Amino acid sequence: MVRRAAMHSRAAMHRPGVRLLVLCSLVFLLLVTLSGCWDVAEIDHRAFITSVGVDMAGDDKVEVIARSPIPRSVAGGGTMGGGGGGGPTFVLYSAKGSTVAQAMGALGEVTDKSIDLGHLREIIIGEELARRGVGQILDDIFRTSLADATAIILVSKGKARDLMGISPPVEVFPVAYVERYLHKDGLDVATSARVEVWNAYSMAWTPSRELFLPRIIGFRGKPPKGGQGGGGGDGGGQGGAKTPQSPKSQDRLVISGFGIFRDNKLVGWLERNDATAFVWTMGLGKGGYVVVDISDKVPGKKATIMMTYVRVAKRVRKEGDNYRISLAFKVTGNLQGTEGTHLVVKGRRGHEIHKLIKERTEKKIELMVKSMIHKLQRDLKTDAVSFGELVRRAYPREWSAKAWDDIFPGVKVDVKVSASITELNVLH
Amino acid sequence: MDRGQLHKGQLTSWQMFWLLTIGTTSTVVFVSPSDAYQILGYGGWQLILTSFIISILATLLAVKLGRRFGGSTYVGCSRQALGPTLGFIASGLLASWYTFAAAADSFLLARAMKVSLLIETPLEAIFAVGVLSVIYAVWIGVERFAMFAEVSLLVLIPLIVFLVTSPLKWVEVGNLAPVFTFPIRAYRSPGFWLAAFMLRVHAFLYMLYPSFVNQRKAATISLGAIALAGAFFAVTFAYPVMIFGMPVAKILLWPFWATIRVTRFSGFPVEKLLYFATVAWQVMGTISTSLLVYCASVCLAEMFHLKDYRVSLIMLIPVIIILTVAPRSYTDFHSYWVRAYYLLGWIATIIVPAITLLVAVVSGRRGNSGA
Repeated sequence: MVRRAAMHSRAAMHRPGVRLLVLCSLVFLLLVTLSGCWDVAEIDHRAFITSVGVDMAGDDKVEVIARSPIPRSVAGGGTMGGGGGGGPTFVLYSAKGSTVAQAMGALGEVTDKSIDLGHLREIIIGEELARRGVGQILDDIFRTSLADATAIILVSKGKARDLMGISPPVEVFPVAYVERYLHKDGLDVATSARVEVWNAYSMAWTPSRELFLPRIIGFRGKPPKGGQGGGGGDGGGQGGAKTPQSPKSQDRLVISGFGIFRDNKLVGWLERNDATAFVWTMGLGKGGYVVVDISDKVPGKKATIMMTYVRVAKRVRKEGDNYRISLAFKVTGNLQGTEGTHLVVKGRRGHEIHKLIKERTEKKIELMVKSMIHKLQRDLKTDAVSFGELVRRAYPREWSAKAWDDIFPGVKVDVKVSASITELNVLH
Repeated sequence: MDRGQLHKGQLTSWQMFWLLTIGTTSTVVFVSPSDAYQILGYGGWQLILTSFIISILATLLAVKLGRRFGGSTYVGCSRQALGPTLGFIASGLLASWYTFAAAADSFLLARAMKVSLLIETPLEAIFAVGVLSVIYAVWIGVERFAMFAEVSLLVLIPLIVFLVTSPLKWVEVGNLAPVFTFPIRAYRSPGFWLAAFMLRVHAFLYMLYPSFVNQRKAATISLGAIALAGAFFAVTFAYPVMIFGMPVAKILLWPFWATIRVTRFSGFPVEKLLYFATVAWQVMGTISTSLLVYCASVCLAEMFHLKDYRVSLIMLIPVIIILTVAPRSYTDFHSYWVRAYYLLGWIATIIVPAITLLVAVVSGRRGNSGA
């Protein structure tokens, strides 16, 4: 009977009409089940969260502040002054919980829309919370498949909450501003770097590395006297027709410097030259400016060099029981200005000045790097430059995460810089 | 029994090569790198090497059996070598492994689809579509879905090259160091040897051997498939470590999948690489699951002397569905299902066939047209 049934079914299957029916049924089923529109999750029923700020709320709770764009504000007007059509371009939600995951879940209680993390591009961790530890936050965010692992993660000076309503007037949505800030490949920013969620997670959970995050600082625009100007001073990117009177009269977000962590807890900041030296040492960027003093040879003069190429080779070796790290920098820069001192007009004089600038640049970079490392070894006592990883690779049997905490501050570091000043622009 | 009706399709060497390669790399790639990290850490490449050697030996065993018994499937070989009862049990074990492996593949595929693309669609709905696709592929016969596998290469090869090259900018080769660590203790653990059942090319050969157009080339083609699958496994082992570092790679659920999660193309039509990866994996997974279900159906059909494997296919589907939905969580799956898959694989596709060949050699039994 089974055989007869099988033969019958085979014969039936070979009929073109039956096969077409099977195919159509399959396509229909695919349409119904794989279209992604399960349970009427329409696009206008969703709150697309683009940014999240996380702060401490009391002693043992965290607060999540989420920013969600208002699409009609874009459709309704232009892009000037942080708001299309004069209305707010985004809305803020906040919720509290014992963990970030719980607080994120609680966001659904404060809006009629479904919370959608598929467009999450920016996470800002407040300073106080960062000092208590970010391991749990990173785990909560990285673990969820809904969130984008390539979202940027930053640490704020002060509370993250204070930044969430700030809207720089050049972009409709603040998240676009931060994205572009960290995406540009120019040579003018060498004090910060893009760190993504997965990056931060790897650093946080690798014993031979320490976490660092770019620092973000927000400035709320202050309306000038007389009520003129001030673009986007109020949260949500209000009004764009007024002309700003000064930089301080408009909302600003500055991403500069790094928050440095030890055991996933914020212990301090690297700023300005230290941040630039950190960027170069970690191979995070190539730009930045170095100003060298040549006043002993050319009275009252300084030379400015824009770095166009920075590469560092790192080596570790043992001297007795101690580790010694060598950093060999190879840098190339363009001369941007010498306050009227022309270099190679004729003869030896120009050549000497050129050589002097090169040597001073090398010395300056060496000092910058040493100062940054000194700060990490002595003040912050954390291996944010991942020298531990170098030691682990070279001496895997000897390396121990626990011992390294005590060893790192005493590690000798040699810095050698080889600079080339290649371009003089249009003046000698 | 009329074998011709069961094995209607004949597979060219090229089709067979790709069926074996895709069937081996499609879904186990999710699980195997994790085992390598957890058992051997930085020396995990030794597990890949060991499984490579085991797979070569097992493949030679499968080819030897096929040749000795005149191009029969394993059901015919074991029946002739071990007798009807023991042969039935040996074939039953193999059919069980195919069924179990198909369920494990379906489980992984449905979860990968849900996690990466269809987050709000119930798992059962995704799974139902997968089952229908597999039924259709098996129903039309191995020859037809081998053609589908052949055509799908036009999509798969560029996608896989794209997937492997795209996260290159994050790669830090130094993360793989120290490469030359030999944790001898790991070799003594059952986990190591269980996980060494990684490349399953030989398992398909037991049932597909009669379908080869040129059976003389079976060994060469299979070894080629093992080499390609082994190379792919090596990539899936090394990549996550080079990107995340070993400590993090160890704790990732699907390490290679996670490397795809970290790549994004600003302004690209499809920004996330994950969508490409999902398409590639679903195509490969459907082919490999279909192959496993086909092998199981043919095996059962031969065991019960059915004239058409589609009857056993219809009976098999509910079993696969039950096995697929049985693990209530991924922890269950990883703790029990994967180990059972390895253990049954060792017994059904290596140990028992080796005994079968040994008995055949000792007793001098061979097929009618055996070499």
